[in-house]
Amino acid sequence: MREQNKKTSVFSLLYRLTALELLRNKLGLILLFVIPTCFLAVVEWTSGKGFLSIKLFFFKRTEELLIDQREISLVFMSAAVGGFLMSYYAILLFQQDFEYYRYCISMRLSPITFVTSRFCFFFTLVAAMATFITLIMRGMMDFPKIPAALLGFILLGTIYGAYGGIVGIVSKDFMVAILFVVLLANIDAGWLQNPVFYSTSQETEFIRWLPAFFPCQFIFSSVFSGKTNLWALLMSLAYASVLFAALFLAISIKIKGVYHGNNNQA
Amino acid sequence: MANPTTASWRRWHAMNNELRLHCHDVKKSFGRLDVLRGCSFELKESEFVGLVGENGSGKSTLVRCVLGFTQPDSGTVKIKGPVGYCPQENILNRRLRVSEHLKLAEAIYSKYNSINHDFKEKNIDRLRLRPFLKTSIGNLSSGTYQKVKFLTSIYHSPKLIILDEPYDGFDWRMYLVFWEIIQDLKSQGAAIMMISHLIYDRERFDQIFELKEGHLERTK
Repeated sequence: MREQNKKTSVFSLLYRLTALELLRNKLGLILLFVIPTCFLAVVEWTSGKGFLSIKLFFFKRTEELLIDQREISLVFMSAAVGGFLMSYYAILLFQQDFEYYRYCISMRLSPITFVTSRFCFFFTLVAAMATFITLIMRGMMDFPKIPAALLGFILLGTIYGAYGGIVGIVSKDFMVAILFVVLLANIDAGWLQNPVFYSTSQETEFIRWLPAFFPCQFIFSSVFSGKTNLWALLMSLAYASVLFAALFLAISIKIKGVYHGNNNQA
Repeated sequence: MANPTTASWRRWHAMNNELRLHCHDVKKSFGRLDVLRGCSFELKESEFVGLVGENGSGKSTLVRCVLGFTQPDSGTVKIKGPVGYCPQENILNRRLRVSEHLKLAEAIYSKYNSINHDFKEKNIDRLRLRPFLKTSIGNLSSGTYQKVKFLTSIYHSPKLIILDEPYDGFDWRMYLVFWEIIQDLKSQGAAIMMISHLIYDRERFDQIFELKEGHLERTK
């Protein structure tokens, strides 16, 4: 029982310290407010009042809808912002000060406790970010399926967060990691998943296999058509699981040596 | 690296009461560069061993192999009891406060051995760290940062302490305090291994090993 209490205390301490680390990252905090404000303000400022035809991809069928240009831009930009921010925070979680935690593992911090606490915080962050973005979006437009949109943002955050985490683990240089995140987030969530772009694209096959496609389709379907796109949901879950497993593998490889060093201690 | 089974581990323990560290034929290469070409040494209770060598001779690599930070290509390392390690690199989390870092260290250490609170508090005062407990690690001077690293490595009164240039940045007074603490730990039975470049530390060591072209040579 005493041992159990100690385990809980190291876990909760690590969880709390992770939260403090992020809160003390001033740039991270500024970006959390500046990026959504800038992007959504530009949408408000520049969107036309006309309606545009967009396509939604369901399993073996495509639906075409006429949607207000402002609403398309709002939802698309929210998805892009959510994806980028989550991958940025994942880099902070899994790249910066990772050596410190390897050192802690060499001091016999349980790798399981460390990984569990990081992942728990990761999912808390994904959920908080998704809620934040859904609430902003809800404040700017009306849509029926709020929980489904929230789930879509959670899936998008998990996929992009896992991607950011992997990039952070693999890359030693923070700027290189940021560059990789910006590159994919820009091409994928920030450009090719724009319904206005992909609806008239000549080559949708490539776009369909990018990581943001399925969660974006799930979000767009929930917000614009009020339908639950089950195919997009299942595929998003598959993408999230694969990327999350890859993140877990990358962390395990990174801490493996130190953990084996501990095995030589008695 | 050998991964000892429980039975062989128990046997080794029973046979080597005073032994704290056993390192046998450790080899490590980086590409074509053979950094360690078979290093063997042992560390016993209350023994104070110095590790010297030219820059880039592989001292830190040997220490990292012993601790598992770097996987050796071959060889055996066996460690008995809790270890304290003061790395050369600035490895501490700059976004935590000193007190938060020490709290985490205490939480980790106390899972495996009891913390001597008097010893811990005494060393915080000896190293003059109390005024800096609420300071962010990123805002510490290099000397104070080094003191926090050193304190972390001895916080739990470990039986084996490995110090990689631990007093870099200490002022003269703190340098003397450092040796007082080392003497205390030694008298408590700790085996200590230290990488040092200072020639006037020579007399303090029981043994000195020099790492030369990948081999360990005993020079004292």
